[in-house]
Amino acid sequence: MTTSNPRDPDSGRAGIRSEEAALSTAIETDDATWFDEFTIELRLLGVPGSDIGDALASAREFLADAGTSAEACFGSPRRYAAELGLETIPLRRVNRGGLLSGLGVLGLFGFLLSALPLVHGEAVELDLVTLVVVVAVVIVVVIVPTLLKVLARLRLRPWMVVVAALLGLATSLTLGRWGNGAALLTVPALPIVIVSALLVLVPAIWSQARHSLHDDAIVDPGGSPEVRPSISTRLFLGAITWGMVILSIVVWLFALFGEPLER
Amino acid sequence: MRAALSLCVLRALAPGPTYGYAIATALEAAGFGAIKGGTLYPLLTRFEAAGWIAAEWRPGAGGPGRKYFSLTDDGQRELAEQSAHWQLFSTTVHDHLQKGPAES
Repeated sequence: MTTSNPRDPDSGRAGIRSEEAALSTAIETDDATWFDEFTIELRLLGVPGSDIGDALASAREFLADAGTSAEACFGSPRRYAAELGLETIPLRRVNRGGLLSGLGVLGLFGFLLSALPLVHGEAVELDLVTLVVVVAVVIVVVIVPTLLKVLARLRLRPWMVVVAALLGLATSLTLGRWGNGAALLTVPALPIVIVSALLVLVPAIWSQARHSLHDDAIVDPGGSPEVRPSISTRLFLGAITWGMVILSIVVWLFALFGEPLER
Repeated sequence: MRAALSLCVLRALAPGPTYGYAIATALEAAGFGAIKGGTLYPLLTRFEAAGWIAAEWRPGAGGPGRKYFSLTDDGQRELAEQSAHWQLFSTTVHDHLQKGPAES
């Protein structure tokens, strides 16, 4: 919509220019989303990084000449990625990296339950609420890597956030009403701490080794993979890889020194 | 139509190395209508995998430049073979349309 005066030619031209600029920005935004989704689809198909770089550059080259949007030129990213028929590396049915990261979350949860009781020389008492949460975390850890393709293609909508929040609220209220805090199970803290330590450390070490040895970077045609990623990339990868270990250290710091601070 | 387009893309590469948008433009100029990238590149990828064409990136200003495709020797043979088949098919259909079915 223009706000220019139609009788003023300069104002009209300025309006047209601003409309063109707005349209161009909208196309660029749509194209950026299209390229992101196209990259994800090629990754999910198991196309090697060098071939992904080639396909992305080819699409950009054609678009620069055609002057249309990526969606109009190539159709849906999912269909185009499949129709290209590029050679693929077979993917595992269950994403091993995702599964190990989930195990890290489980380990952190284990520390949350057992760190304080171990410091106090007590056993871990599991009530109904805690057991339900443990089961929920285990289910999520198993399901997320299996459904990675579905989750990667999921576009988060506001209603999904609202439904998830309502479900969470309803579950907490129900558990709060039914669970009276009585311990259903008592487990020694030390075994939980040992298992949790393994769950947190093994995935982190495995991920660190995998990132160093088997990265399949997306490489532009004629380019070579970066010998050393940028500092921001390394920090991001480090945070992802060692995030659960860092959070576990925070949990232990609170368990060991939290009470003196409260006094 | 897809088979015909496939043959015509190969033919567009016969004069020498060329790039995606130039192939689409040539086909549009020949009366095939607008050829989208989503139609063209899967064909080119298939040809490359079959060894009929070779691809080479030529540097441009400030980027990877353009991807040029050229017919290989296998591609030349495939083009000649497919053209002959198409010619035979086309003649058969044309004759049939002109003369009608043979009376028994």
